[in-house]
Amino acid sequence: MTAPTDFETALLPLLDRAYGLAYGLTHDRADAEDLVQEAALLAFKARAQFQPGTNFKAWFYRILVNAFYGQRRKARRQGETVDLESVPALYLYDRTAEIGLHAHSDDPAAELLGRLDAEQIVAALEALPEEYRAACSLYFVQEFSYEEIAQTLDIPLGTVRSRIHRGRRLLQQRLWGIAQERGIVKQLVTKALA
Amino acid sequence: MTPRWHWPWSPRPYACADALRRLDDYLDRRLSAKERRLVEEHLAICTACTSKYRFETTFVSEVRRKLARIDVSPRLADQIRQALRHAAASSGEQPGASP
Repeated sequence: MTAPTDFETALLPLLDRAYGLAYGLTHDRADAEDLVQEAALLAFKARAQFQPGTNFKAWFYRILVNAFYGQRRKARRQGETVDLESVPALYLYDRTAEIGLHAHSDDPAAELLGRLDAEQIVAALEALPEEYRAACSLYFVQEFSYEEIAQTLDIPLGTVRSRIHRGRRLLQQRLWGIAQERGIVKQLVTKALA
Repeated sequence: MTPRWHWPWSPRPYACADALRRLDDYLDRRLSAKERRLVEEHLAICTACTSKYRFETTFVSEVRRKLARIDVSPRLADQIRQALRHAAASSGEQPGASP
């Protein structure tokens, strides 16, 4: 993997998904492009450290996520505090049941998600606390296994599990907020009453 | 829903609370084969839990489906290819050079 063309051949097929991950982290197309490019150059310079036979994708995404954290440290803002114990399970299930959607739809989750676009879902991911955002982006965008997320973020499997479980609840809470702001909940209530 | 009886030599069937406690791990395929079977046996007799499991499964698959549609800028690959070649040239390497 030390030859530049070998590196390019391994890297280029990953760019689509890498961009999706970067966009999930930055929520800005230009910032996402810059981040992917920065990660590509960092990985290129460090390519001799890649162990042949190991997971190139996880290695590259780890560099990308670390580059993102590096950028964030430079422009650090006060992180919001989240009381995770207060985030209930089945958040969207309960909210959609409360507005009567379950009585009028065979598939209430698809009914709600069908009205949200990718940009709104990325906005909800972007609003997650930083440590949850990286794990959830790898889980939802890359469809990584817990083992791959642990390897990419260099965290224990138990931490991956709790970040995914709690991150999923937080994401549902954020998406419901977006659905309320954009009038989607109102549309669903109207449909349920019709 | 709590099952009324079970064979004394088989594991205790799951009640709703047992099944719901395992929902996240079920979604992520982190349950043992035995736990997964007990969850599925419970779902076969409980419409309330089935509805919750189905909702959460659809939630994950729909979010993934939407996020898979984020299009990469067509020029990004070209930009990166050029940047890598520039970096290789700056370090005195020839494209395609073997280690």
